[in-house]
Amino acid sequence: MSWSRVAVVGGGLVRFGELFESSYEQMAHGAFEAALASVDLGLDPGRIDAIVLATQRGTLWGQEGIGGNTVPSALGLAGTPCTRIENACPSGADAFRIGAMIVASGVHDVVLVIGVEKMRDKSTEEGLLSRAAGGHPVYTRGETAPVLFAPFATRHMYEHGTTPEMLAAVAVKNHHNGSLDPYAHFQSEITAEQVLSSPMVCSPLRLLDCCPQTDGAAALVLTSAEKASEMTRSPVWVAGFGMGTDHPYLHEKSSFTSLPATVSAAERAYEMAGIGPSDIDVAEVHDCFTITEILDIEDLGFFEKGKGGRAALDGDTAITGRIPVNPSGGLLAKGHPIGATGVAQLVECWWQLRGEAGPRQVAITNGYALQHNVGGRGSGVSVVNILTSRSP
Amino acid sequence: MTEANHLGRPLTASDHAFMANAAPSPKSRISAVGAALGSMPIDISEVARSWSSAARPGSTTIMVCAEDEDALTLAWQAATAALDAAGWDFSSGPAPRATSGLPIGVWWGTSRPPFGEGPSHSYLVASLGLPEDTAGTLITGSVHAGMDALLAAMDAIAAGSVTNALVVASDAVLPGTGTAVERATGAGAAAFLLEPEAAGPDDASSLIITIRASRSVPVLDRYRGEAQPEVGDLYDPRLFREEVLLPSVESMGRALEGAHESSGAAAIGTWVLPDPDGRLGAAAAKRLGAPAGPTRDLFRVAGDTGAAAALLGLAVAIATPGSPEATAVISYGGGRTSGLIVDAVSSASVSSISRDLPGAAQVRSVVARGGPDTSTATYAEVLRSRAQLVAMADPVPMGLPPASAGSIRGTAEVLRREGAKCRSCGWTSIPPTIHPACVNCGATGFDAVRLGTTGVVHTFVVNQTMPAPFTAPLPLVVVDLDDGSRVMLQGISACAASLEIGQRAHLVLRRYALERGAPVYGYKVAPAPAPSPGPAVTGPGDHGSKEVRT
Repeated sequence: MSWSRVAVVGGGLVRFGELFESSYEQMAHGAFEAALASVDLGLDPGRIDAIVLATQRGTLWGQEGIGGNTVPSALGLAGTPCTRIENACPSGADAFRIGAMIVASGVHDVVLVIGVEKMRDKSTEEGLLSRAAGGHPVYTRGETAPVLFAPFATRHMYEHGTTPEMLAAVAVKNHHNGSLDPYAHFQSEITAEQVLSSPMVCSPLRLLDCCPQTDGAAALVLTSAEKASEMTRSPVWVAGFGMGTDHPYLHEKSSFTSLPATVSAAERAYEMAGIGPSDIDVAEVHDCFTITEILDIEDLGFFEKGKGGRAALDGDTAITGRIPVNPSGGLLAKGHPIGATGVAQLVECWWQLRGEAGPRQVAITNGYALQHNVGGRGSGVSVVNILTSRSP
Repeated sequence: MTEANHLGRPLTASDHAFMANAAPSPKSRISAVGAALGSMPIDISEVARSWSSAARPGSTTIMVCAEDEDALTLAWQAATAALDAAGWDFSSGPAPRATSGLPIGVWWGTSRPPFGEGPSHSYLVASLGLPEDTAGTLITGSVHAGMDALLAAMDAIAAGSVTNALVVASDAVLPGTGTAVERATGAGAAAFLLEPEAAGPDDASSLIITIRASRSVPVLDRYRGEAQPEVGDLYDPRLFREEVLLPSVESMGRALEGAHESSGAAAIGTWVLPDPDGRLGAAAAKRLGAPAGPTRDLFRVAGDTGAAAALLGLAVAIATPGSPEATAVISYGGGRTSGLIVDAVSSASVSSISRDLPGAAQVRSVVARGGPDTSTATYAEVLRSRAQLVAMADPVPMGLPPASAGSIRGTAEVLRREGAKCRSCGWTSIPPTIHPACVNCGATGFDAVRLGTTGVVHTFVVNQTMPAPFTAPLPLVVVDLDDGSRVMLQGISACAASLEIGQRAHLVLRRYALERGAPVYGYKVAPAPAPSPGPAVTGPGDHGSKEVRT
């Protein structure tokens, strides 16, 4: 594969949370300003050639059916080309992948990738129900978000001896990391006892096994290798990306212990980057539920199938562990404003590779960070992006 | 003074000449039977206490509908049991195979069709996997509808317009809150498969409907107007008892007896009588000098099952081992009284009933359930299940409108349990309308298959956080069906606490939702039923308690 290298030269986000005081446009503007401010040598916004926007739940915000004109005027960039990506939970990660391909193609020099999601202008009940009767009139009825993952927990426990304590270890670790992240929705520690005694949401998942409904926005600036040196002294590079899909209905799954979309997305990203899982220093993965992180770290190749729960319990995925996972607090603590989630994970990877993650900083030895999302009906959509601090 | 009948009309010669007649020929043979009761046990004395009314002595537990059951799901359950018992095999596709001959018709009687106006009958036909040219009709309008369905099916058999008639009587009466009707109303269904008399096997006895009679008087007793969803109490229960029900049942019983005697058959051994309140049945039996046992026993398990009551009583009577050779059943509703007699007729080479009626064991197991030791639902749960207790909440529009093209496509394939079996790799893609290409190999050549109803739990969840209109706990279960396919469906709420990977399960038709006024149906996962109990050891005339039958 021949493609021109793409640099990440800026990134930023707003603090995630229930941002009742902020509009969608204000969040977008906040993330954009933070990303612009992070460009070391400065960037004139007028140099932005195109915008790739990720917003998944226009229905929750009351602005469904609006296209690329959703954000440019809010950013003061009216007239700039903008494409809106709606691709389930990987929307932000896919917007980044598309943005990278645009730059790599040579058509545009500077691309803004921005993810914005307003989850809490509607009630949590409506957010939950919004997907409980979509799709087929009968076959998916009652399929709220936890139903997409809880059957995997039931089966993972049955086949691999994974325990509620192992699931709880994921939540405890990510809430600890969140306590170190000033952008996180939740910034306090929790105990395993708290997780295990929290209300049952969708067995075997309890309240603290689940991510919250969060508002937020995050943005990244991508540019070509030639232009990168004009903007920063320490660029981070796109090493590879991959996307995978799988059947959209749960009854079509051949296995309830693995997500094939993640497996194929990861294979493609590793191949493009020319590396393997052991080269990754840090990973921001999709932990909408505790079981999801366990599935992820197995499907991404960090741990053998069935060993993910044990790894979480043993601290292998802590900031100081063998492979730090979700140092930002992950979706569980940092929050999951869907379109913004993947972009914010990439901001965290960018900070980690530049050594700017403060108390959350992990040891960077190989210079690779991996970002991953999986979601959609049947968890059938996944994107993996790999960034590197190594010069091309 | 002119002699008058109980309603004040002068008696005429035709009143005195009223008599039952021989059933039209060819007569109908009952070849299989099935039954169902609502799955929610309620203690009717608790209902009485909730209204500060004295509980009647001897009141007990009866079965009503859970929130996802109604007259259609009960009809499906009873009819499926009868068809299974008859050995009808639909596994090769949506059209039945191996029936003793087409055409077939479905006669369904209920006072509560799922749609006041709509596709009630066609939903039942589709969910049973019967062909699109299935004949028959939906009969409704009073609790006499179940008996009417049976009479109409007999006529169709006699006329030769069908050679297989499925008769289903089901009901889920919605009683008014705080009424006496509420303390008597159960929910249930019975199904009979009929065929022309000659179609029976030569080497066994046959259950033949030999005598029938109907009578009609314009009397207003229990009624429900167009805008009225609930059934209320009788204006004057004494008037109904003394002037309507008891005289009607008595004169019908006498007419049946007379006709049966003159045909030279054995005396009627079992009487199944109308019993809308748990007392009238016994009073009617007393007037006829008949045992009250069968009527009383059924009420104690099922309560008043409305339009299903007469046929459910008949099903239980003929499913009881050692039952007498002649069984009479009388139904009353909406001014109409009908009666018929089922005779066990042996061929020359057989001297007694030599085999169990197909489905009899299933019927026995259905009525053996319930009873005072079953843990009962609270009154609030009962009200909620009838949508008489509704959360105050803004409705969130759910999914596709039920009459939209997408819902119609989806509903048909769900009711029929359609799958698309790949001709290349054998994988079954479900449902067909969303799978123009095979899930497994991408090929596009398919054979239509009808999914089975039995399998093993592969994985599951129990959702505890469901805002209205859903209710928690809501299980969602992935089942590996015995036919090799896999489905993910809601589980019935009663199984929430006991689900396990690897357990046997089966699919049952349930009402998923009432959406914009229309019921939405689909299959749900339920624990596999316990094996049917074998024939009981009790003898004729012993219509004793449930305990004896278990």
